[in-house]
Amino acid sequence: MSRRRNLEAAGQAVTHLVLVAICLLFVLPFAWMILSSFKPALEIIKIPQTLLPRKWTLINFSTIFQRLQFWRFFLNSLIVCVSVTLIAILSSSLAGFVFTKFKFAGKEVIFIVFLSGLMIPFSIIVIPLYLFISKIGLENTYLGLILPLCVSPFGIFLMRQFMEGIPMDMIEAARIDGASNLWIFTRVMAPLSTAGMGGVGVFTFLWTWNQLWWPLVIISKARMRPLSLAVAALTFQHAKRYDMIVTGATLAVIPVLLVFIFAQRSLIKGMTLTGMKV
Amino acid sequence: MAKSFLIKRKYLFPLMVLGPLLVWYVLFMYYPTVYSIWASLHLWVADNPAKSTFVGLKNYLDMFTIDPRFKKSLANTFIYVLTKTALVIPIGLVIALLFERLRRGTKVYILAVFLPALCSATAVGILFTYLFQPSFGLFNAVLKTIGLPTQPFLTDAKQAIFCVIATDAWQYMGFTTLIFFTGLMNIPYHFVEAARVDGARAWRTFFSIKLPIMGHTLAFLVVYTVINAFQFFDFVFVMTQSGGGTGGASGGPGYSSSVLSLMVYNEGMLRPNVDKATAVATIILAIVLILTIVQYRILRPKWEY
Repeated sequence: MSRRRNLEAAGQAVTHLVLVAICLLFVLPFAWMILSSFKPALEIIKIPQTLLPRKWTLINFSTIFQRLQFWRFFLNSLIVCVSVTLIAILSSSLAGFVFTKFKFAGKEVIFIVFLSGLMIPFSIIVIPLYLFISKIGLENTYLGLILPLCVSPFGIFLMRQFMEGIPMDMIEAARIDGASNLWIFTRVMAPLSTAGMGGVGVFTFLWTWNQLWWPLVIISKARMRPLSLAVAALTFQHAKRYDMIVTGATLAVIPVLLVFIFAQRSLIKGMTLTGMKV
Repeated sequence: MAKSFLIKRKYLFPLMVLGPLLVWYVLFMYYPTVYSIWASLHLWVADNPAKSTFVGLKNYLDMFTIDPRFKKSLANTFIYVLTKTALVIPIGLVIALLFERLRRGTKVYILAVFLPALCSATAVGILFTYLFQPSFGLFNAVLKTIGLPTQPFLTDAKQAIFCVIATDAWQYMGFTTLIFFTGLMNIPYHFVEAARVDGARAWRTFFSIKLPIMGHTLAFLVVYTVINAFQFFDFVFVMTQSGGGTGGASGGPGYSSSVLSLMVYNEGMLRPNVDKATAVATIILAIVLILTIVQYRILRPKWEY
């Protein structure tokens, strides 16, 4: 019997070892990148390379913020991401309320029309969208960036699933008491679905933060670039400056790391519940 | 009178919520989609699109017969989809099975594997461009250390697309692992226990019990991964930007690593060659729609447990 227990313990140890090796494959490139952003420019292209900087420096960060004005790109990203996230949370939960607590003809059809937005590839809408947005004069504006991103088919779907669970009796009771729909939404529905709204919020924020294609198309003025585009632009404007490129990529990842640390629970739960990738 | 007022009041709120949303869907999704399909059937006139002449399937036929870029992009897209799926599905499943064996500490490992999936393709793509760099990149340093010849990676027309696929697969792996792991955790314990009591070995339990039950998860992941890979843009755009020093458009060296979605951007925004770009986009839409229908068919559960 104890032989079997020993065997099991050995098996566990081997599994742990294998998994540590696998995890290193996923973590090491990030560590390499973040540590490289603390190396002076010459050390980054020097052979042989070391994991830890031989000389630690913050010069890459000061250059990228002061000379390349990355604070501005941060601000752009923040403005766009916060706006998109707020509008998406509000519209998704209002739609969830209507889809679950109202009865009217054509409800299912409208829901399918909304949901099918999930399967339309961005490549089919990108060119007409560009022509349309630039025609109404919103090229190189925050509004032009925000408008096509601010409704989330996935968020609507998620909020409908979530609000399905709120008992209809509560709504009926409030209605009999003469409560308006807006009151029911703000005082009953919204407080009961904060978890769902949080999920939609985290997803939408990360998704918007990571957007590249739409900003690339609609933003041609350098100062209006969101961070993701600014980082990508480093590779074609300063192709040989690996010190700047690595530091830019590090900056793009840091906010995601923060969200990851603070919201890992709802993230993983949302991912497994819905099987969706950001 | 009172009743009709009540009915109107009842519809007012849904109308006020769904109305603006419907307008958004028409303006930002359905109108652009229809416009793309329309443009792909015309000889598009940039100055006055209304004056475009209808040419039927000419744009499509031209691409299939005389455009080497399109053929290369189409071939690359299929290579991309197949290789990525073949990498992330089995490896993700193996890692998930390792997770399942663990008694404790699973969460830390999940977080580590899952981290890249949350980061932007831009950042990950740039990171790997740096690691793939031929002279001072990490990968060639590793190859040199273990005594293998160094590689040109992204600067080589044959290797570039595979470097991009490897990067994408690396980022995507955490996602498949997590979904498989959840699937494994959801298998009722008494199924596995019954097999164990009957004396079934681990591999037998896996192939006869776990895999059939997970069939649904597996089908979902395969189709979802394929749909996702068909329309992917970011990695190819970021990583092949200056490949081979061709400058300008991504997909280098030359157009050796171009894929369909990148072609939509290069033709539609850089040249601009709107009719051709929208024809490529329509092909992507058609493929994605077919796959979505397949997904819907497969995923209707056939049995319960």
